[in-house]
Amino acid sequence: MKRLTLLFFALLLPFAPTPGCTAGTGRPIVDAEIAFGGTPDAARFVTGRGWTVTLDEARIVLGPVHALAPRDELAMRPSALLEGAAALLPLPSVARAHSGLGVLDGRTVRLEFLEQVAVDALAAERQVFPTPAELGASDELFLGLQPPVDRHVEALRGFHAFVRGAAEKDGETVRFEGGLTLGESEAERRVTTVAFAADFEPGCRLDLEVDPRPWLDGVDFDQVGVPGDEVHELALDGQAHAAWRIGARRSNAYAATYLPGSP
Amino acid sequence: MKTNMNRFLLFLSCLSLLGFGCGDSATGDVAVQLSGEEAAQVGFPVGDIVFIDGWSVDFERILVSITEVHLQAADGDDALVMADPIVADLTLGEPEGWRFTGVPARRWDRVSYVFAPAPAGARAVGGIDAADLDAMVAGGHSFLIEGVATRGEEQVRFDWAFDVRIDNTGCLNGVDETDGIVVREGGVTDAQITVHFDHLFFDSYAHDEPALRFDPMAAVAGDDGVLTLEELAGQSIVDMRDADGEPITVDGMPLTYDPGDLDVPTTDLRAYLIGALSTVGHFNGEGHCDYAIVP
Repeated sequence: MKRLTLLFFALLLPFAPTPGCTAGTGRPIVDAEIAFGGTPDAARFVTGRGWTVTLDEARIVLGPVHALAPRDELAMRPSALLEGAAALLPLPSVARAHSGLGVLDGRTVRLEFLEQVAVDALAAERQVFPTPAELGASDELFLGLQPPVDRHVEALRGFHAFVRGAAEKDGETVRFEGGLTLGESEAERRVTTVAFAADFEPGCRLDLEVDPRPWLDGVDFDQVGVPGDEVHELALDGQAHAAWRIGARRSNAYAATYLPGSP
Repeated sequence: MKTNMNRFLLFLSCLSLLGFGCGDSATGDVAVQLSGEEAAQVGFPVGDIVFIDGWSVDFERILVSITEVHLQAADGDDALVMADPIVADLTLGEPEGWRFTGVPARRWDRVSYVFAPAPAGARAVGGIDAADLDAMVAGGHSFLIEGVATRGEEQVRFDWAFDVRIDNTGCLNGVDETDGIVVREGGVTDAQITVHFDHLFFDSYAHDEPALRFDPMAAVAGDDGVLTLEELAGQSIVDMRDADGEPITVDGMPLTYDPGDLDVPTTDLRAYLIGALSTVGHFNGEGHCDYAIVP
């Protein structure tokens, strides 16, 4: 009888929690990088409304950034002992992590970058920052658009984002520039469901590329001003600003790519 | 033989110590009712829920297909309730969808359910017409919503069939705002899947107090007087136009619909409506779930 008991616990021993070397969630923390850059191809594009837009400037302040573990990862993690046993024994199906409208959804955060970065949305160059990440898979980004801190105010002319360019249609050109002001509610200051696939490991990089094309895709430049050499401001009470306010929070305005660490 | 039995009992005891045991065997029953609240039966306005642009809406059919219900717990336990797929018309009342018997008495803090296209063999509940059930199955619909909007002499019928699958997970209990539900020992615990149809007409999912509007929908209704999803695809949520093609404004500002965190792949009103539909499911009244449109 004693032999059987000892054998049973011996079989479970490999799954016992390992002391030290892990974060509070039970996974090791590794050194990673996060990079921010723009999309040079967006300097000239055609909108869904048929306008050919040429951008001379497009900037936005981003941050914080959270990379989330897959939805089907346990929200409440059992001990390593139970995880190991679960692999051996027929257990009922497990409860799943939340999904949907909640902020961060109660999901595990794999990478968290809490600084703000002013991004030139037309530049190929990357701004790279070191950041810790939790070892493991991630498949979605949560991107904050919190009010810009003081160091970014001048570059963004006091706005959250800024654009300058021209829109041409049927041989006539509307020149424009202006800044984006976001609302106060949390839901107006975040971008959710930016999809990507990562398996964070030492030396890896999360590359975040801003694409300003969806910002202006819904803008009716006819309502911005009359064609000609005059530069029209994107008025805060105008259709262009309203469309941009929603376009800047569309998940397709941001592309996240995972770059593994060097072997 | 006796020794083997003892060993088996010891094994079970060990599992129990690790948290895999069934605990005590107390059970209860759970009756799950479906409700579209008063609005499904009398339309809008109802109570203090009114259209800000003066419209009223009456529903003629609200066919809903629910294919899964789960009572689970964060510790990994699962009541394994047998919820067969059902279809109900919520304009006809508040039918009982299922009665689960012998459910272990405890808190099930992970309640979830699924709206999905009605499968063959789906069960009709609440006096739904056989033809309606057939239409849901044949069309592969998860929702079929018909009604009429009225403002003075204006009248717009709408006929919307949706084929999306919507997972409602981690539902809060609208009665006590706790996670899920407590199944009482020896009695019947009432639960309700509550569907809020005012969400279909919200003008924002980024604000706590959105307004109900129908003007942007009415503006794209065709000459046949029946507003379809295809017609809604012709209305931009970032550049809304009236029937004459002029911008719709509110207090001098252009009207836009803000999808907030909704899963809206394009900026047209059909995509927005489908995103809004993903939020209609609740639990026990006002209890919110986490929502996901599953491709």
